[in-house]
Amino acid sequence: MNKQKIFQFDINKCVGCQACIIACIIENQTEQPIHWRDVNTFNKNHHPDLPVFYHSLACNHCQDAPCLNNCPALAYSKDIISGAIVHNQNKCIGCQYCTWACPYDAPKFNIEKGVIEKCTFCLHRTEEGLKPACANLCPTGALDYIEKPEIVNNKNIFAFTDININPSINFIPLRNEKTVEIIPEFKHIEIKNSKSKIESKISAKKEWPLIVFTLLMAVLASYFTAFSFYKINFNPHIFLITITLASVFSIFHLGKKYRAYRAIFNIKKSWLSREILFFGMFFILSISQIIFKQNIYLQILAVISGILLLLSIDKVYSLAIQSTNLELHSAHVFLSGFLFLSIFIENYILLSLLIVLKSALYIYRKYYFWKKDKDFKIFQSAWRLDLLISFPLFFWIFDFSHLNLFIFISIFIGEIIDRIEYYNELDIITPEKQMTNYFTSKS
Amino acid sequence: MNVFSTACPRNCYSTCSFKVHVENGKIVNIDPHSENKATPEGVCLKGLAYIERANSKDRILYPLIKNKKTGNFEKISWSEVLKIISEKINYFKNEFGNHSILFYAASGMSGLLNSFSHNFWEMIGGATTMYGNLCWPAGLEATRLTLGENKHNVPWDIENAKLIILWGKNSAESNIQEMIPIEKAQVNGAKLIVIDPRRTPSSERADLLVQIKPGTDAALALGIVNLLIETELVDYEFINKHVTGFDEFKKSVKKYTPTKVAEITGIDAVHIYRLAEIIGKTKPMTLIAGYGMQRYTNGGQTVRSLLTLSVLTGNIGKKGASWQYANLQSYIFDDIKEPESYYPSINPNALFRRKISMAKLGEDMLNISNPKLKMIWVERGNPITQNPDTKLVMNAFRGLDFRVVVEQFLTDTAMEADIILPAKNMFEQTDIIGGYWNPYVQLKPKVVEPAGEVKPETEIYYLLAKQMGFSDEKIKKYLIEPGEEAIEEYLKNKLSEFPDLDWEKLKQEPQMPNQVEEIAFEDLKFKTPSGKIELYSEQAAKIWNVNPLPEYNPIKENDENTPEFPLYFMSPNSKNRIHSQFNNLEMIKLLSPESFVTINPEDANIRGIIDEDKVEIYNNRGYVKTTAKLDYSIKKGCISMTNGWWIKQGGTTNFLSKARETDMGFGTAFHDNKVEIRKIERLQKK
Repeated sequence: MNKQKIFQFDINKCVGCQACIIACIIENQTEQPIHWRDVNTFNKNHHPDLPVFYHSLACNHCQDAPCLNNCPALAYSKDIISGAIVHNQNKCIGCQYCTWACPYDAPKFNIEKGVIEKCTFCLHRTEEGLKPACANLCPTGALDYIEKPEIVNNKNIFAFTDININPSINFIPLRNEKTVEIIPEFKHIEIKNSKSKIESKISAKKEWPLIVFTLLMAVLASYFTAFSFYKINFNPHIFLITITLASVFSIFHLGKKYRAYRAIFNIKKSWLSREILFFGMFFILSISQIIFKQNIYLQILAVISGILLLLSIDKVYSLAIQSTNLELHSAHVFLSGFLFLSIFIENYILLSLLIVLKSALYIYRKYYFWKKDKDFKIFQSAWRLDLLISFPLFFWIFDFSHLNLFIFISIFIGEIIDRIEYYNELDIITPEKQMTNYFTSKS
Repeated sequence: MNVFSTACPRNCYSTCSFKVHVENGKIVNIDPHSENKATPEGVCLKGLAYIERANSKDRILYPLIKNKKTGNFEKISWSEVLKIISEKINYFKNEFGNHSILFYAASGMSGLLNSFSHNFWEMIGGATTMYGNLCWPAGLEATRLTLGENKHNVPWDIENAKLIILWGKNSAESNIQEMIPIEKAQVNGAKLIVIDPRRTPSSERADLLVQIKPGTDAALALGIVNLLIETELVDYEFINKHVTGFDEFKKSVKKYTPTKVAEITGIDAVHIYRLAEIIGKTKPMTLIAGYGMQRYTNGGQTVRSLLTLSVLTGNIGKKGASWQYANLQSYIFDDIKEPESYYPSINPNALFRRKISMAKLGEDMLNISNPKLKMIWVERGNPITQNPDTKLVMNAFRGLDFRVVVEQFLTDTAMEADIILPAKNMFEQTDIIGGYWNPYVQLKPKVVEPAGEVKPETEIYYLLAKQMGFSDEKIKKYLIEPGEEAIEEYLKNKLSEFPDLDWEKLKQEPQMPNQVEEIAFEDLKFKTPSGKIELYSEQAAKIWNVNPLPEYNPIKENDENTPEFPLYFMSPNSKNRIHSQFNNLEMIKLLSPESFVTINPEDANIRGIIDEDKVEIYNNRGYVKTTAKLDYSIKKGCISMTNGWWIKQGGTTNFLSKARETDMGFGTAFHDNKVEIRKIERLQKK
């Protein structure tokens, strides 16, 4: 049997010419501006104390590929012979969750087609014994396609992400990590990133339907739980309309809406599939319960699926917050669910405890951001805390009529802010970001 | 699908061999051609972009005529357009004489068939033509005066060097395959020194980058040489046997003391000592000089000065030891080689009035008289973008009665034309090319039919001659019949003088003629008047009226005489283009969407410029508007914008350049160019 082949990239030989990008565009006829391969530059502004080097990267066809594992629709598969991770556009639902999962920015979303596309390892060429186009046409021989060596060197490579997924790329690291000696010498210059920020792949602006969906789920799950076990006044019409609306929102952001059913194909591995499954169960069970009335088993099952739904929502997003990595986060919808529940059942002791917990988590998170010199908007945070603490307290002290409604509205708006901030904090590793993070770490 | 061996005919060092895949009459893919030892891994990104260039929707596919009222170009038939052109030529010829027609051809596509263009104008009784060249003549002449010939070791010999100096050359962008042997040499422990005001991709893996003040390279070289002589680090055996003028030279370089050189170049004396020690003690040394630093008014003397480093250390004619400027060994078909082929005509009554300087195109076109110019024919060139002082060139163009431009795309020059004739691309006609870096003779076969109504230049001239009523006999004497058969016959006939070059083999791969020396000057024979390497050159004094010894002369626009424009303006080449070719392609625009100027943050700070500000670069010749990119790669006091941007893309850098000739070789000194920059607009935050 032929030995498996992988990419090899010699950092010493690459001069950043970008011919590999052009080679890929020609071979695979990708529609611009999409290009599957990219060349990222370290130290773009030529800080005199640091070297400039490049990483030419496309899909690294990881042995333990996070795109494949996390794709809810099982659109990815592995070619056994070549080890290539193959994306099947006919199975893709366009949810773009793989773009969150991949640390190499390999899956690209084609807006016009509504599906993902990515490097195929040039299977059509390698099957004929040819190298992938990029490796074939690199004019300096920096990028190559070689038999997999005994020990693949891709750990501890400058600015190359290593999250134990075994990418199929072997690096020849820099012979000399020091920068070229420059004459005349520069006087000391502070190392700082240029002002222009790299646009994050996820933002509240882009993903607003998901914000609406996830928050509504917290409200609905808690509302239904309160109704099931605490016999509160329950308006089935509002519930039905809201949950139907939420489900519309949930498929609103899909590139291929008619394939939405595929979203539950990867229950085994993908939290996104699980989220969709629990949503479906909650949807059906809660409605059945409303129709069939007072069936305790349905009721319990519906509540359980609601809780699991909220838990899996939080799990889905934990993938994308690698840089902060907070296990328990003030914006977790699971917490929001409990918060709303305490309001619905008018348990102010529980509510107070949750408010204290959430405020503490929120303050900790902001402190963390402030310390890390990340975006920190003090007024926004003050509002958020006021809506969570001061306003409800104010309503309670002055004994507002419709107290509960006021508290609910205040806290709900607060949760929206928290959630928006959360989405803006979501942070996906990309090679481009790794280059800047690594740069900043040198200061 | 058919696969053909071919070679890239652009004006570029690399002259890559490659394999082109043709399917259904279209260029569809490109593969490396490993038989070319200089370009074994294949072409650069521009070469790959041929896939788009050959099939571009923007290509001019039929003759166009400008509608005088609307200013738009309209389709016209070949028969009509030939009639119009022939009537015009006859009119100007009869009314004002042949010399009222300017034939301008540049370096857009190389090949032996280009000589038929010249033949046509000869056949009709002559024309006014150009002398000089935009690119490299000062350095060619400097090398010719010193070594007698422009040739150097084959590119793959660089890997044998222990010391490599890239002096003003950014190979990573302008000759990317040169980085292969450089890297190999470095793996084997060679040192790499780069001398350049810019920190370029070529200098990233170097040991030392000397950011010298533009235009002062000669001073640095002579300063180093002076120390080499003082510390006895020169090769006396080599000098005694093969060099003339050493004693005079030795005396003359005494004045380049480290202190004085430090003052001129901005490089501390301690580093000049260091450079001298490295150069004196590390052998063999390959010194690779770029073309940028000789496009100054002192360019020829600068290159002569640099060359003395190789000569005095005996780094000539050995493995890994070479002076690399231009390797014309594959130009076997030329009777007169560059730079001598660039010289103007002396006889005023010659058929060809070679009186318009490439460097001073605009000025000369406007000033020439007896007769004045009435018509221009442009092929293989884009003078509006690429010749110095664009405003003047444009005025000269607009002052003419009739302009014909042969082009593939609507360039700045084509836009000024009255008639545009569609030009062939490299895949549409067979030709033979040489190169000025690798030593191969290469065949570039016709692999597709010309697109649309495109006709190769040879055919255009043939039909024009017919239209003008020349006899078949005369046409046969001067021109070549349309069709591949005649061309093949012509090329085979050319090859017949060289029995070692086989047509069938050329179709498969590049060929190195027998006469090529892999190690140039290995026989230590020099075609100079003395037969030795000439440090002291009487020819230099006689032809160019310069000091017979290499010396440093300040450039024309320097700190003292142009204080109102304090910045040295560099307009280097980019990896994304060959001059003004390629940057209209979508693939290239994806990587390089718009022009920018690189400015040192300190210089920007003084002027209140921040990253991405819209700025205006200006001097008393003109201005260009572009975007500022703050970057420590550029030496303080210099700014840099790559040349070749079309006017509609924010170009051209030549709005700022002055039309001047170099001190020798009739080169173009457009890098002798100082400017100021100011902010015009700040980008609104999104």
